[in-house]
Amino acid sequence: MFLSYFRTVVLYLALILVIRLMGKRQIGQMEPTEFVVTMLVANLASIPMEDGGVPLLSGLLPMLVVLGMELVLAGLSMKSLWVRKLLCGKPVILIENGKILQDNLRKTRVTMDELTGHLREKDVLDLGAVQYAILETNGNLSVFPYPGERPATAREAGVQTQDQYLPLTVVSDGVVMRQNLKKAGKNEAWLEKQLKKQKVSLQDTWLLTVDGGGSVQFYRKEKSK
Amino acid sequence: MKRLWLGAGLLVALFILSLWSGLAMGDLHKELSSGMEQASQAALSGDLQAGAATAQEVKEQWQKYWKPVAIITDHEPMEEIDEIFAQTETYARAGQANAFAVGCARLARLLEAAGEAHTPMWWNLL
Repeated sequence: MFLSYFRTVVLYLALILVIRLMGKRQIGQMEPTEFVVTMLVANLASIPMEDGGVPLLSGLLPMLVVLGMELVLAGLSMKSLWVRKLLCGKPVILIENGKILQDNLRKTRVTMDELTGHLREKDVLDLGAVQYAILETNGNLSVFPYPGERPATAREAGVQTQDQYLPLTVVSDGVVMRQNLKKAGKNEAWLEKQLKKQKVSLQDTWLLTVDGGGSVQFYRKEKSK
Repeated sequence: MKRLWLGAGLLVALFILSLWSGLAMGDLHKELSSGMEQASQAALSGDLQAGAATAQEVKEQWQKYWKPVAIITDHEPMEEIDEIFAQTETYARAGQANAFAVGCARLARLLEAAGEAHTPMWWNLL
């Protein structure tokens, strides 16, 4: 029993380490090769986890080899277009200037049902409204309707917009994020002033954010019931 | 770029480690196997005592390397080898030369096979 416990802890930590080192992408954003590698690593970890007769190393070693291969190939694909094309393929245009490219549909083995399904997911019901549809290397479909068919942008509508800033979390659950405070160009004295203005102590602050425009958002910590 | 070199370094280090361990396992098991072969021959030629002494030496060596070997290889064949070592010891004590020789020959083959399974040869790689 203890052996299973110990092995599971070790393999779980190794699995987390390997997945983290491989990158942060979510399943939906993964290339097919990345998805397969992630599944493979998880599978490799499970064998010594469930069979005490198999050395831990026989699971860890292949996991590390897969990690090494993945790091090398990811690095090479950043450097070389050829490697990138080999590993990830290239985007394929399925609709061009409103015309469905049947040859490309056949090549990518995408049926009309799947294409219309993808379009519906993008809130497009009328095929004629689509100027371009591109099948991306991760399997997602990018859809670009004709300019007349898509919602007008603020610029097109002649609406004046305000600058947008990224809010930085300065206090989270009563803890000061000093790096963010510095990044926002603020200091402790400013923070103290903000807390005084809200009539709250640091410990009672759930979230305090500030953006580049100086706009502050404040949320008080609620007492647990 | 840093990750590329980290990956390359990891792959080279693991390659060297696995190649070395495969060769070391092959050599160790070959040596143990030939010792058991000698023990078997000695028993068959009527010198059970010499055979038992040789088998004992091989067993001590096997026990010395048991832990590092267990890190690398499946435990099931190792347990089978342990069992046969115990059997042959009993045969030697009981003076059953033929049974002892058969046990030693079996051990020789099992040890040889265990070593071969780790050597980096094409028939193992494919």
